[in-house]
Amino acid sequence: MIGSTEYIILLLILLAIGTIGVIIRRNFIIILMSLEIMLNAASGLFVVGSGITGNMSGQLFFLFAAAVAAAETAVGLAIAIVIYRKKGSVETDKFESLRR
Amino acid sequence: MNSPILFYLLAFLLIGSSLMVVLSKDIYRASFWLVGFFLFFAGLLLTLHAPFLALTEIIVYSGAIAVMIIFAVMLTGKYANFELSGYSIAGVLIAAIFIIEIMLIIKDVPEFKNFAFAFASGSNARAVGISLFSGYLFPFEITAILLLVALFGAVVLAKRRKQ
Repeated sequence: MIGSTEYIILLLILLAIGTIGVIIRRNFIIILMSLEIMLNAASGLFVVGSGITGNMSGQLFFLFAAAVAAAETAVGLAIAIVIYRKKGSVETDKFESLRR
Repeated sequence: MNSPILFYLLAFLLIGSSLMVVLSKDIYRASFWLVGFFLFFAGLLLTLHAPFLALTEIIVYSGAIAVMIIFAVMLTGKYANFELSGYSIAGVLIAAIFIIEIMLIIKDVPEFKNFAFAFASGSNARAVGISLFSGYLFPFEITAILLLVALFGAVVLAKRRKQ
């Protein structure tokens, strides 16, 4: 039988892979995809907690997290398209006008 | 449900597809691996006795969000240069520290072998609906406003301005 510990460890590994993607990649769209992986893993942990406690709130939190992820992706991709129009690339090394 | 073979198969597929998303050079290919990740994650939610959430995952993530990402990939560039640098080592180190920290905490989490006990009676969608519209009505309405604002924000941002 597979218990809650195995699920939690799997979801933490996925969260760590998403973190690695956000830190090491320089492409804005890949960073957004890694953020999706992180959000999925974190809200999956809520679903596991909902199974452990027998409370429905964890599953509802997954729904709210999905809505927030959809909103975040829409705005993030709009920003990516605007930056591509201005700079011709979505590499984050090119976004430097606020740094100077 | 809850058979070890299914769980380990799903774990292998999830970790493999997320690594392909993170490490692949071709953004287009990475976005399709992301679709695979969402589908396998829906399978994981099915083994967690959350079928409503699994279907939501398929519709919202691998339906809507993946299409949005693929469109953005088509509108921007195809290839992402990716070389290992000091940042890569820092990223792997931070992730490793993160995992070790939480592995130390996880010993205190109570162990449950059977997830079925909680929602044994009635359908999952019914239980989700009842608790969503009784205890969480206000967050639900706020989420609707959030989605509307995000829609307007995306349109205003991506609109081509007249010169």
